[in-house]
Amino acid sequence: MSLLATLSGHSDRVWHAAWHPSQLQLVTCGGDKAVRVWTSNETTSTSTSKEATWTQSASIDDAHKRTVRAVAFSPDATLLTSAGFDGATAIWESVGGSEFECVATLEGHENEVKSIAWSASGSLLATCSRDKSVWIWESLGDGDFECIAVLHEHSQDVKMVAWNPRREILASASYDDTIKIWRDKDDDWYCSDTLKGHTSTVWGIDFDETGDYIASVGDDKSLKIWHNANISDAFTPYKCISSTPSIHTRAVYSVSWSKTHGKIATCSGDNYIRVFEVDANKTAVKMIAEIPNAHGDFDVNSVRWCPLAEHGHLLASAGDDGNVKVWSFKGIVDSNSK
Amino acid sequence: MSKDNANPVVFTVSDEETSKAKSKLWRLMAARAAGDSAADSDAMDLDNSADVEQIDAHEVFDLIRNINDPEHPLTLEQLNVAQLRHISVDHANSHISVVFTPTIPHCSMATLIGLCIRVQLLRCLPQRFKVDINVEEGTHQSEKSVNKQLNDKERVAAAMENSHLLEVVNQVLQTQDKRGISRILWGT
Repeated sequence: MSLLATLSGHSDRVWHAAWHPSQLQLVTCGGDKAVRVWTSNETTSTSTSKEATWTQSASIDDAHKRTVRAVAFSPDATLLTSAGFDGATAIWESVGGSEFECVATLEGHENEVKSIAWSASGSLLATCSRDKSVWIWESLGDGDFECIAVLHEHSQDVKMVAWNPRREILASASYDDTIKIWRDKDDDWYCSDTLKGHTSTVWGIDFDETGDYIASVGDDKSLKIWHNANISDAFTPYKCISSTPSIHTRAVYSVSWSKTHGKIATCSGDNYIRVFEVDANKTAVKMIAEIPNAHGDFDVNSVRWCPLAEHGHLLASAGDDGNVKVWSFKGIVDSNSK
Repeated sequence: MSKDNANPVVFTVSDEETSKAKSKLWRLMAARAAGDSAADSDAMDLDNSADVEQIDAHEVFDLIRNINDPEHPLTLEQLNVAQLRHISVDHANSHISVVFTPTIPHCSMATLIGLCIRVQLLRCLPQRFKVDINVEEGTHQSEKSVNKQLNDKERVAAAMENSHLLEVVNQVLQTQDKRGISRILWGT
């Protein structure tokens, strides 16, 4: 892994970094209550020799009254969304240049919102909170959102939500040590499965490209892979098909399963980023790269593979040092050029 | 409001132990509070230079021994909540473990006490240190949930943005006032 860029600008820990769906652009957020957008000048596809220049192209200061915990672009990139410890989810629209305007604020959670996720079609937005609930919102266009479900089955703080990349199936990860799967039947959302196996908080989850597998990480330091043999059947349960203990020495805060090359990246309070290769049956993982002290002496809070096929080797990370970093995974660039 | 433990056992704090309260970090804070500008460069040295005095359990103990109990006008040391032998420091690997002992197994203040210890160490130690704070095994009925909460950085961060809770924590930590170092800690 080689470091391509260090994006400095946040004045407190950075909690999350999310990629633009179709351009080399990142949106980040953190303890300084700001949302920042970073753009690369690189327009052509993979070149390892040339170092792309990243610059901050927009900043929303005081986006929330408290820490901004999560950010995401909508799938068509017309909207930016942010979730705050102030309990609100804000919807931002670009109004030209580097200006963003808040077009809607989704309220209802009793306290900190921890994560947001857009369904692949862009019609649904999920949020989750320390209030133990998961909410699903329908996007009606023009910044109009309607809450269509309030889901209460987690017994503790919900840390993260993620949509299946191919179907309208939602997964949520919680401080109650479980992952829950949510589906709708005749517009009624319900919990169809509870994945038990982690022995402490589940911090991160991500689907693979097919949507049949989920990778999960958390406080117990393990990496688990779950499989659903028939995901279109709501009665088929997920099974844990792989569990690798102690992939890090402290809590694992984030996992990203690349949709372009299938490698899994993780990051931790032990300051490491690690990359794992998964075998064909997804039952065994092998560490193939690691970055010690990826953000110096500080925790690494999130990792995200770039979703663009031609830039799939790029990995973004966010750390307690206030920086966002963009890494190039050489192993993937090399195999692409063969 | 009735107290959880109305008559706690008070432990004698030996003078010898108290006289050891001259750790590098403690001296540094006191010097800064007294307006000694050289203290700032000392702080840099403390974190950067390899040949400075290593942070040890005594230093960490000094930082928490005089935290007030939330309910009693007594320090965590006097109540045996904080003990030197329950602190371990791995300076080379930037790791510190603090174990504390609630005065009674159903102490409702356990999470608050642990949070105060965490905040105190967050404010005083070089940032690179990873700190684990746990209840002494077998001394609290909700040990697991207290430990989980204290070691969840996201919940600690959220707690620190809660003005009411922050006020309570600051009040508890204010015993340090007597030592003239509070101004530097709270940045006022």
